[in-house]
Amino acid sequence: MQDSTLLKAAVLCSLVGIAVIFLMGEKIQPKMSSIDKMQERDYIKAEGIITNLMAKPTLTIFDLQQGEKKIKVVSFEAVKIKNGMLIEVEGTVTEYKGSLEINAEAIRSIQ
Amino acid sequence: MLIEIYISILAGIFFGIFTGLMPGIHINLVAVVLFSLSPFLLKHMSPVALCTVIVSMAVTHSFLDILPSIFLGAPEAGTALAVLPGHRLLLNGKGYEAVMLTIAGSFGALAVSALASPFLVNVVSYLYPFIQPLIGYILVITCTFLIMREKEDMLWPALIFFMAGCLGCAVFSLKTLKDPLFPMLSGLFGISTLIISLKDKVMIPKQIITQIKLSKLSQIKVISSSVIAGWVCSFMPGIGPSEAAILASQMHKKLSTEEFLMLTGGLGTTNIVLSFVTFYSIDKARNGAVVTISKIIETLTFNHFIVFLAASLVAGGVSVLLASKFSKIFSTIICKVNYCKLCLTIIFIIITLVFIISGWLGLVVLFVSSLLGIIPSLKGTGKNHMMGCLLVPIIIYFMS
Repeated sequence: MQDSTLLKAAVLCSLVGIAVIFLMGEKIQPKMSSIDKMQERDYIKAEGIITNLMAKPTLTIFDLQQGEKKIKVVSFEAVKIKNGMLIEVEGTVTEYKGSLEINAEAIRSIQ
Repeated sequence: MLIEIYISILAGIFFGIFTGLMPGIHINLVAVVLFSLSPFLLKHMSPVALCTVIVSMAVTHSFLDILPSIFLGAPEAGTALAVLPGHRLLLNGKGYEAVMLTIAGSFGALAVSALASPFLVNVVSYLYPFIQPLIGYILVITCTFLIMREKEDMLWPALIFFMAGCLGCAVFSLKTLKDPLFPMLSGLFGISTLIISLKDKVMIPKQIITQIKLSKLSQIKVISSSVIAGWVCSFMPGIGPSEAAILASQMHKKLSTEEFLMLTGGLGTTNIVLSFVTFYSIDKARNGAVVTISKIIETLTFNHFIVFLAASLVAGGVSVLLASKFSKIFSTIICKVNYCKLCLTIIFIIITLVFIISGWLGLVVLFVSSLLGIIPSLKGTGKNHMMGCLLVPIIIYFMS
């Protein structure tokens, strides 16, 4: 294959590929996860009830309760939620001081 | 405690040999693995010792990663620019000299960086608050300059930068993709170079062991500029050793192939060592190894800083000897190996690792990145423009 043909093919396929990746970013959603199956660096969605809520202007921390299990959720912005609400959290599972927690990117009320 | 530190340094050097010589195995990957094992490891060693392992590994890696870049054509982002001049020497039978030039640059820069560190801590902590609001603009100006210096043809560098930027934004939007940098950078800088080597049916000639012939003045000039540029890229996000190499080369009228290789070597190691300065002075981690260290030791004290500098010097000294030894071995066997089969084997290893670490999504990213990665080689333009994959998302982050 000549270099000019290879170049055109590479440019075209790269552009198509980049567009496909953008579309995949829109379409692919994280799986709903239970607390006992969460692993560090997973990007997940989880449902649960809010307990032990601590809300400040730029920081919101609470426990997400699923049955008897719970996990800490941290959001670096103010969120309009209260204890006892049923919510869905989307974010990345990280480890902090030996325990897993979720760095929330989105918190949605289900009620 | 002292014996624990010595053992940690040796363990770090051992891991660094593995990550440095194996193409596709990035030090960030091993640092992440060590961090995931840290709950178990910290029962048997102190946090400082574990971090010393990571430091020694990072420094050893920065010395040895030039070997697969030059001999196997499988660079990382930081060594991508060294591939072309390194390959030029390799194809002239001087692969050993190419490696030793970068090693000399690495060690010279390591020594100067270690000496300058205490001074630079104060400079960074004073300067950074003034620079931080301007980072987005500085990066835009840097990128514009890097494109405009390609005077003969700016269109293709601009297009490549733009496409790489779109790729970076697209990849980072894949939130469920684990370790997005690994497939993206492996495709852009690793597999694409191997594909070009296969296409061009590269034949490696017999290698001869030649010594560095640069004058002491040249070496001092190059090492000094590598330390200055490396220091800038250690606290500026998005500016890696490749961009710093281009910027540093602007400090001189014209750099020979040998001087450029020494510069690239110096930058890679300076970036690692002065990242500790950045972490210590402004609590910002600018590379994967330091990010991992920041999770193990949340606050870096002066004692930790000194231990890590000392570990860097020991690892660097040992790495010079290792690099010389390995380079002679590589020089002997490279022309006996079927280079085509070697490239295919490395491509297979990288694909397998991407699948294990990042899954099917990672393979899609690897494929698209590899296609994009071959474009600069086909057009004869610099691979550094592909760093747009990191620079554009960072510029958007700082400007928004």
